[in-house]
Order: sequence, then C-alpha cells, then structure tokens
Amino acid sequence: MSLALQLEQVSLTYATRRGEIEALKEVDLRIAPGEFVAVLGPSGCGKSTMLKLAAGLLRASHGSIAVAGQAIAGPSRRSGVVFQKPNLLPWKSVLNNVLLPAQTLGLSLAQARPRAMELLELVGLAGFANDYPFELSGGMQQRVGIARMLLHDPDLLLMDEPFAALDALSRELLTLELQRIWSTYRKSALFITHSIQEAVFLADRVLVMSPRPGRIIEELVIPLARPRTLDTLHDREFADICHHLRRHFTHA
Amino acid sequence: MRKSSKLFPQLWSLLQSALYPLTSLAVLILIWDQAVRLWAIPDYLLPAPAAVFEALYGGFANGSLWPHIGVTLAETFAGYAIGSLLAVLFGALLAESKTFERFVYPLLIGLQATPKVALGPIILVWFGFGAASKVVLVALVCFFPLFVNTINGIRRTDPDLLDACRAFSASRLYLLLHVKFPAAASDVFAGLQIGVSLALIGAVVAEFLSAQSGLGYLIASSSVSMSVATMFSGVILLALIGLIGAQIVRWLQSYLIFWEPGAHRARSRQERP
Repeated sequence: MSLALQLEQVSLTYATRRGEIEALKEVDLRIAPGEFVAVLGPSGCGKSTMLKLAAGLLRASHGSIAVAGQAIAGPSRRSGVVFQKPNLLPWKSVLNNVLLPAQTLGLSLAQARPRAMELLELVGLAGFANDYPFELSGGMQQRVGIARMLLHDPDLLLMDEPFAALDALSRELLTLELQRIWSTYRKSALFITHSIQEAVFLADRVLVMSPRPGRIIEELVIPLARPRTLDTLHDREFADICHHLRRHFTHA
Repeated sequence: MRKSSKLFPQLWSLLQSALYPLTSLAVLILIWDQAVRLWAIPDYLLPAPAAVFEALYGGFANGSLWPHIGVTLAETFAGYAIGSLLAVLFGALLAESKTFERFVYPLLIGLQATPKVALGPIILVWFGFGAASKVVLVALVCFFPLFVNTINGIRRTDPDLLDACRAFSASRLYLLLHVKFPAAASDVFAGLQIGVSLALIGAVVAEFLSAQSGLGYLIASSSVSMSVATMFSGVILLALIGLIGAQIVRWLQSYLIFWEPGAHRARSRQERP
C-alpha cells in the first residue's frame, strides 16, 4: 500500500522585497496509511507552509509531494483540511458549511446530506444544523470545520493548528474528541501544532522542525497506549517525552 | 395584551428617536415662518411655510403633482437598476480578469474623474428628449461608486477563507458566486446607498435640461413663472423620495446581509459553551 502522504526533498523559497526567503529546506516526510503524525515547531518555522504544500495550495520550489502515491498538482479530493481559523462561510448555515466539499467536488447532495448530519452528531453539534456560524462559539465553529473536513471521506486529514485560537478548556476537550474521531475512522493525519503536549497526546509520531528555514530536526515515535485520556497527561512517560521534546525550544 | 406590552417599549424608543429630529425640523420651520413675517420677505423670494404646504396640498388634491412624481420615480428607478446591475457585473469582471483590468480599468478611472452630469447635453443629443436620455444619465451617474465598491469588496475577500474553499477543490466560479460576492455584499450596499442620492441628482439634472414632466421639470418651469412655493414643494418631494429610497436600501441590506455584526437580525446572538 502506498504512503498516505510523501514529501521528498521539498524546499520552498519565496521572493519578498528584502530578497528571497527560504521557508522550507529539503523536508522529507512520510505518513503511512492510518498514521497520525504531528509536526511541532516554533512560530514562523514554515510548518503551516508545509501543510499548505500538502493541501496543494502552494507549489514547492523543489522536491515532490504525493498523496496516496500520486504526485499532486493542486488540491486533492483525497485530503480534507482544517485551519487555525474555522474559515466557515458566514452566509451559509452550519449544515451548508459542512456540505461545502460536496458542492465543490460535485458529489450527490442527496447522499451527502445524511452524512453531514451524521458528522454533526459526531462532533456534538446535532441540534445546530440550521444555525449560522456567528451564532456559535469559537470551539463550536472549529467542530463544524472538523465535520467539513470529513464530509467527502478523505484518506488524509490535514490540520493546521486547529485548536490554537481556542481557550484552554475547549482546547483540551476538542483534543480528546479529535482522538475519538480519528480512532473511529483511522485516517492518516498530518497535525501541525506548536503545543508539545497536544502533539504528544495525539500523535503516533512527532516531527520537530527548526526555525527558518524549516527542516525536520527530530523524529520521535510516541509509544503511549490508546485511547489516551486526561490521565495520560499526568503519566510519567508522557511527561518524560514532553520534557525530552521541550529542550528543542528552550531558546524560544 | 402581553404582546402589546412587549411591543410598547420598542414603539416608544422608535417614537423617541423620531421625536428629536422632528423637533429640530419644527423649530426650523418656525424660524422660517417668523423670519418671513418679521422681514416681510416677498412671496416670490421666499414663501412662508404655509404657502409651500398649500402648494403641496393643492398639487396632491387636484392631482397635478402625481404625474411629475411618477415620471421622476420611473426614470430614477430604471436608471438606478440598469446602472447598478452593470456596475456589479463589470466590477466582478474586472476584479476577476487581469486582461480586463489592464485594458479597461485606466479608462474607467479617467471617466470616473469626469463629472458625469457634464455629459448630460451630449446624452440628450444621442438619446433624444424622451425618457431614454434621463435613464441613461441616471445609470451613468450611479454606476461609478458602485463599480469601484464592487471591485474593492471582491478584492478584500478574506484570503484564508478563499484558501479554505480552494483546499476542497472549489472552482473559480464557485469562489466568485459563493465566496467573493457575499463577502463583497456590504461594500456593494454602500455603493447602492450612495447611488440612491446620485440617481436623483442625475434625474433632476436631466429634467432641468429638457423635459415635459418630472419633478426637475416642475422646479425649472416654476422658476420661469416665479412660483417659488411650487419649487419648494418639488424640492421637498425629492428629499422625501431620496430618504425613502435610502431607507429601503438600508432595510434590504440588513435583511440580506444578516451575518454582519450590527445587522438587524431576527435571531439573537447567544453565549454558548
């Protein structure tokens, strides 16, 4: 079976008024089917750039990117994305926001609608299908974003600091729920974050990126058993792993 | 009973907010009236408020005002609708197409700097002395602010929102219709708002130039016969049309763009966990 996502020697430089900026340098990344990989890095290290590359929103200057073994030239229907901002369409109801991938990919709405309702239930928003985003809290909006990401049943989930803008409590809750949702579907996932705990809690494998130009400087398999719970956060092993990763960021 | 007691505070606050400007208006009319009496200003310069009211009332009573109102309303509305539709269409085209922007935009900016009413006599020559020339001038006058606003609104669409939709393979047409247009809606309405008063200016100027009816014609022709009271009633009617038009646009805006903060909405924002 081919890799869910593969980045090979990917570099990205962009031109600014003050000359070229090297955002990513020779990044290699492989995500196996069903694997949850977190990328951990300081702000401005190009980790969001990496996700945009994987989502087909940016083109690499060098190197190749393949989703499910196929080189991509743009957004792939095999991937679903959530961002730091919920990025919902304010003029569409919650249900229609979740249905967005069905509309853009030309899927049958008759089939997509019951699935959207199912997903809304999965993310705990069963009664909110006809509400509008401005009527929801930030955490609820992000749940809608997660449901939207899953609608077209993508093989690869791309998540760019989805909980970074939330308050601490919603964040913890949603992290737990994301694990539950991921366990239900066992999708491959690329999860970008600057929170060590979040990365260790969620991932099978954590990659650490250096400040610009971003490159991967450490790779760590997380052996913690699943399902991980709030108690895991107080595990000796969990603390040791976090402590170990922490040393990369002592200068930040 | 319960319903009315719930409605009452709202009605009261509405009355109150209307009361303040009405008070100033009443004071203004009073000063006007007293000034006319005090300095014995002749009728052909400034008629007393009562004379203007009489002219208005008489005009409505004998039916002579209605055709003028009807003509001006029809011309203004037709021109406004055509001008606005073209402005949004061209604005979207220009915001989306680089080629169009390179070739056409500079010319349109040049045309924008020209006072459009200066084209009035030329339009008269081209489109004749009937309603067509009035409609064209109105359309031309209210085109530009809306055109520029549409371009700006579309260009100011949140790039992250566009990226999010692109990540799900959204086509360019989808982005334009479902993302950019709604995102530009409040700018479009700002342009429509400006357009209301500009459209009336266009209609009146066109009627000044040459017309057989309409409120602009009424004012211009009354100037010849020195019936200033009639001129005033024309101005008052135009002001009322402008006010009502702007209010309709405002109401449409808050109804259609329900998601914007500050919009009057039926649903209320609730705190939810």
